[in-house]
Amino acid sequence: MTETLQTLLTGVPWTIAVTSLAFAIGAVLGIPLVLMRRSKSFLLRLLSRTVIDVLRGIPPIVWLFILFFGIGTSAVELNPFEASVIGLGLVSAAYLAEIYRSGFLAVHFGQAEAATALGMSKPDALALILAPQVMRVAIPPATTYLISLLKDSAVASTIGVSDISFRAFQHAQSSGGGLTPFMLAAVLYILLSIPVVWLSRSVDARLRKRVSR
Amino acid sequence: MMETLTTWWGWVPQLAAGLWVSTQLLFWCLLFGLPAGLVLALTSSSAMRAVRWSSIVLVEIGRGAPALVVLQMVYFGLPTVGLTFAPFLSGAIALSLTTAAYTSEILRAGLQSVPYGEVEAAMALGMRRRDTLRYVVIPQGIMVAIPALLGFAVLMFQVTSLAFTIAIPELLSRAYRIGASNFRYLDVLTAAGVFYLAVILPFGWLVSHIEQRMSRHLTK
Amino acid sequence: MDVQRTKRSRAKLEKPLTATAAVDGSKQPFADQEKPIVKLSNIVVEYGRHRAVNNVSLDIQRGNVVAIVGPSGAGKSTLLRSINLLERPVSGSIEVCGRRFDAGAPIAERTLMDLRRSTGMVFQSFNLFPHMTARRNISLPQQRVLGLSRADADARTDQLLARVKLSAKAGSFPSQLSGGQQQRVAIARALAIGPEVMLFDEPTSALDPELGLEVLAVMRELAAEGMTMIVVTHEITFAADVAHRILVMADGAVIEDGPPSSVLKNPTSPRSREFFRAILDRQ
Repeated sequence: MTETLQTLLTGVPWTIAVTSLAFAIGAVLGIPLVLMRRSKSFLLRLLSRTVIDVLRGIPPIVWLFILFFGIGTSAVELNPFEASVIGLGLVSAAYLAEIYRSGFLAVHFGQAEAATALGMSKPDALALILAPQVMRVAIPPATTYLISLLKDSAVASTIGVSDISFRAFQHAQSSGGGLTPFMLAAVLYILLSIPVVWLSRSVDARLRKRVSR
Repeated sequence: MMETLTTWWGWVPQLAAGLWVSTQLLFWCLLFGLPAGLVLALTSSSAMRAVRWSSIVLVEIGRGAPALVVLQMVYFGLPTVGLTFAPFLSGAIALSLTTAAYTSEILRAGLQSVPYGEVEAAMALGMRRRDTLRYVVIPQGIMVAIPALLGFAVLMFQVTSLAFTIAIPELLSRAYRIGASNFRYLDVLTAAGVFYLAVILPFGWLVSHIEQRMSRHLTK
Repeated sequence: MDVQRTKRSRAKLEKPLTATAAVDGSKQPFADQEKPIVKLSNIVVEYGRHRAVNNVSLDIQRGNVVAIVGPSGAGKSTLLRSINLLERPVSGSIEVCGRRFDAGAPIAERTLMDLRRSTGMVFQSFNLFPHMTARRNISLPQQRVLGLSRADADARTDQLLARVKLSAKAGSFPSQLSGGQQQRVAIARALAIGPEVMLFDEPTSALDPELGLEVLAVMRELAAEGMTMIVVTHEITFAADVAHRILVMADGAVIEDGPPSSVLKNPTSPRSREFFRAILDRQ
């Protein structure tokens, strides 16, 4: 059991790395997607919507396979870790864009009008007035998404990233170790999600104080 | 271009067969998972502490553990304690567990949305608790939960792709096998992606349409 | 207040009363006519540290119509709801139709169901089952509680709907009915299980005045048929008109108890005098 746990723990940094990098990519790429989605141009809206639908409509494991086996072996070399981070990052961008969008919908449109009436430029109004409020509304659903991404990151093991579930599988195969490695892996994933919940609560509380609605 | 299309066309029967296996897997995990989810929804608000806490723990583990880990636990783990199932059955069992855990939360929210006054009215009429649940609370709770359950089913269809890892010949497995035989991974995996899109997008639109209609109906 | 009408309707009510609780007449009437049909002894109900009902004792005779009035927060509804044990008293005992329940003692589901069968309750917010038609709302409890067949239940349901003058609305869902119609269906539903005592919890408070009248009309008929009724209400006119007895509650206690003539004309406590003055000013 201790030995199993030690093996599984070596997978934890990989799980954390894949999850957090993919989330970071998604958080950044989600911004242009949502701005396009809210743009006045029909073409941009259509493009953004199509990208979001396609990214969300194909299972993450298929994206990883496309990147790793499909693209990663021909044009550009991608190792399993890079393929996982990029694949899950792209999928995250689509989900986070939709979360940002619901944040925009929740912020009263009067806020944007007020900012323009004050003579602020559009980018300024977006960055200084809208964005903080959108973030405040988006944090709880974004946290929920982060936790589901943590679990989805297990698919990285299928292309060979040595994360928690990879270690569990490997250990079970080599030791004939039965249920224990998988159960411990499940517990580790649950334990990892707890700090995320705490973090989101404290960030949420701080923002609530600053941007009270 | 023509050549690519012809090759793609040649894969269609294989991929369609895989899609059919994915659909069957989804069907079985909903068939077992939804009733189990309803039971868990009821027991996780039971008055008996032991029942309530064991259901809550079960639900939290089922929701907290990645579906991939649950799949591998059932397929690779259970045989070592003497429970060996064929790949498809293992997949159905594992995904039913995940389905039960998730839908129990959706259904619990639905059940809680039924106004308590109606429960009181049933009690005041002398109806048993069992009858109150069966005739008053559960039918209404399920109606409220339907849009979220449909949304979950669409998501679950994606999750069936994880069954690749336990050798169930579903859509992704077939695509991968074709790729392994001719090394045209990009083409065949993209084709598989298109298959997933062809199912998931229309159903996703349908679900959001139903969601909007139901929310309009409820606020009326 | 119309004193003339008050006297007339009371004279009508004072003739010997027959138990017509069960529509099919199969139910054994409560045997001992001397014994109160509802007896509350030293009832205390608490919400956390707040004492909603404070040591109330009360005897109610068969065939009586008792109105409970008083300012909001006085504990009227809580007292009413402890009669069918929707609220569990922390001390005291209740006795309904000869069945006695002591606070704190465990109650079997069977016994509790029997208690609720002998009482019918009508709520302020109707609490009809919104996914069932008016007819199904009334027939379902007959099938599940009385064990009637669907056909028998439907036949009795049609009689009950006729009694509350809603035969035409049998197939309507609650959302298609007005508040007054919903409340009449709720009364028919409560009557369907053949209760010996009817409990009304502010039955007209959620209704526009003219819709309240049609509900009050049904209640008057029920009283005239000799049903034992306990009515928490703000309708002083109705109380004066129909009730044999008025209780005034304040701060969880009964501060006034007697026939309408004396309670309304000469309230003894200053608090109830104040309450009636406030009510009459509003009307």
